Amino acid sequence: MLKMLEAEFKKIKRQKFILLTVLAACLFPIPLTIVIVHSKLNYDTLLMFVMEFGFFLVLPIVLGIIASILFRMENENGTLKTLSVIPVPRWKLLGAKVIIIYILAIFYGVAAIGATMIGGLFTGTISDIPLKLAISLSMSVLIATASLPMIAAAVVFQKNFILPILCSVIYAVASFAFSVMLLKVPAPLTLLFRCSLPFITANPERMEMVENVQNWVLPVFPCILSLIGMGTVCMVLSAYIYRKQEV
Amino acid sequence: MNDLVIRTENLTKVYGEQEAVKSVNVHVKKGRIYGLLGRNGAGKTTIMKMVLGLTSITSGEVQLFGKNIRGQEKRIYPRIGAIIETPGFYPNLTGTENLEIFAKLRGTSRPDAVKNALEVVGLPYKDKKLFSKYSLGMKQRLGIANAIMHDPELLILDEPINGLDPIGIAEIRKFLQDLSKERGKTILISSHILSEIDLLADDIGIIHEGNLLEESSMDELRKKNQKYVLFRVSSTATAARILEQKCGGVKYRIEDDNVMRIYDMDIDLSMVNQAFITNNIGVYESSVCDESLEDYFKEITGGVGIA
Ligand SMILES: Nc1ncnc2c1ncn2[C@@H]1O[C@H](COP(=O)(O)OP(=O)(O)O)[C@@H](O)[C@H]1O
Ligand SMILES: [Mg+2]
Repeated sequence: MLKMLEAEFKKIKRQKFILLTVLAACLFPIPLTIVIVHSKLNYDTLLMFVMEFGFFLVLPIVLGIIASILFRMENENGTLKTLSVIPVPRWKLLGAKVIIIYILAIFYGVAAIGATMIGGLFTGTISDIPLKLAISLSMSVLIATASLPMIAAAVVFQKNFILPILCSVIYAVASFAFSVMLLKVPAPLTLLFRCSLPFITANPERMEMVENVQNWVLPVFPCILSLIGMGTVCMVLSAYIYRKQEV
Repeated sequence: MNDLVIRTENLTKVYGEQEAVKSVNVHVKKGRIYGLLGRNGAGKTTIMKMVLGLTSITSGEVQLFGKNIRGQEKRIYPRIGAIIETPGFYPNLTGTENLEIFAKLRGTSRPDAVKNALEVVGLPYKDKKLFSKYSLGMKQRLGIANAIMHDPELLILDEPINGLDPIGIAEIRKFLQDLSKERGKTILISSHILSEIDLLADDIGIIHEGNLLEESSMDELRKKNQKYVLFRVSSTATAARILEQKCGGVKYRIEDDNVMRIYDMDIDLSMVNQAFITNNIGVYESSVCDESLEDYFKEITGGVGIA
């Protein structure tokens, strides 16, 4: 499996979109920092913005596009055929790609929060750095888990470019909208939002006062368990479909 | 029995309504080059895909190295090198980077395997050129390099000379022949170009519309088709009757009302001529001809030729 991962990393060499997003993850807190500094908000508010928009909206879409690139790449160039005659089992190929997506998710997450912290140093209101890094790390992993349905879409529509990306965008935007409207739709990303709100909010006191938010928020562990459950179902389904895929 | 590297038994593939491969029994012997000849759409690629487990088998079975492949993939397929249709590589990587990935996934132990393989097919090692910028011929060479990199016992090559220039074709042919003759490798190769199979193969299987019409060694086929006497006569029907009376058991074939071929070269031609004439059959021409493989192909596929 280690060589599968290594191979997977080599394959994305010179992939412009992935390079671009890696760069963007490091740079995107800059404009946000400027806004915060200008409007004299504190660091925790900046962090909340990055978490809400960056993690819950941008990150799933980016991960969806990357999943689509990773799976379509093998189909488009006939490399699935070359891999199959080696033979590389499909579940291993799927596994390697999913791990790459997790690694990238962690990188994006930690890089974005790290860059935000550098911005936070300017505002001088920064505290609890290790805790915040730990939260960003676990959030990245959880966001990637909640994005597993998009990986399934990338496997199902691997011959298509637009369709899986469209699915990702719709999934991420809809889940985000459900969250903002405090709807109780059981979409993985919305579930995650509901249980992580207490950790990412900049003003916990206010949250506790608003009753409908209080009712909307869910306990952490049951949520994470159901996320893992849904993710597992998606992966088993993907592995089955990928194995049946003829070249 | 043991010298069969590939054996299929009533191998059949159905795509929707279409039967692409019909109960095919292929026998590829160890150390020989087996040419699968057929026109486009005959079913060559589909047979190879089923042998390699790239597509499901509708019915029948495939044995490789004397074992049924089902459940044995992990043990059997590493002993094979293959190209199916166009060679599949990553366009954003160079040829060397591509081969290094596949070498790693194969667990190829020799560190110079990639370099050697590229050398053999005449591509530069550590070249900066991306695969997407390769010509069709270079892609095909890289495909062959990838297929031979791990020194497999069996090569399965689907139209490997497509897109190569004549010099390249001759080089690859020489290389494949050396692999087979000097290193005892078994090669299954497909082509729609008859002359190519003629020059390269030891054994031939002729496939047409999913049926394996003929399977034999090239030597046997050449012997069988060496010579015939062409008769142009006033009536082939009468001539055939006379022929049967005078020399029963002679091999002949009627092409149309006026043309027939006699395949028996031991026959006394003056006697046949005389017999025709005394029976009021006009003999306009009788000549000894060489039947080409192309004629033969036409004959067994029922009239359609091949390049
Ligand atoms: N994936 C597929 N789906 C449906 N029909 C197919 C598929 N692949 C091949 N065929 C059909 O099967 C027949 C044999 O194709 P193929 O094996 O590719 O022929 P060859 O390699 O001899 O040119 C053709 O008629 C082709 O149209
Ligand atoms: Mg073909």
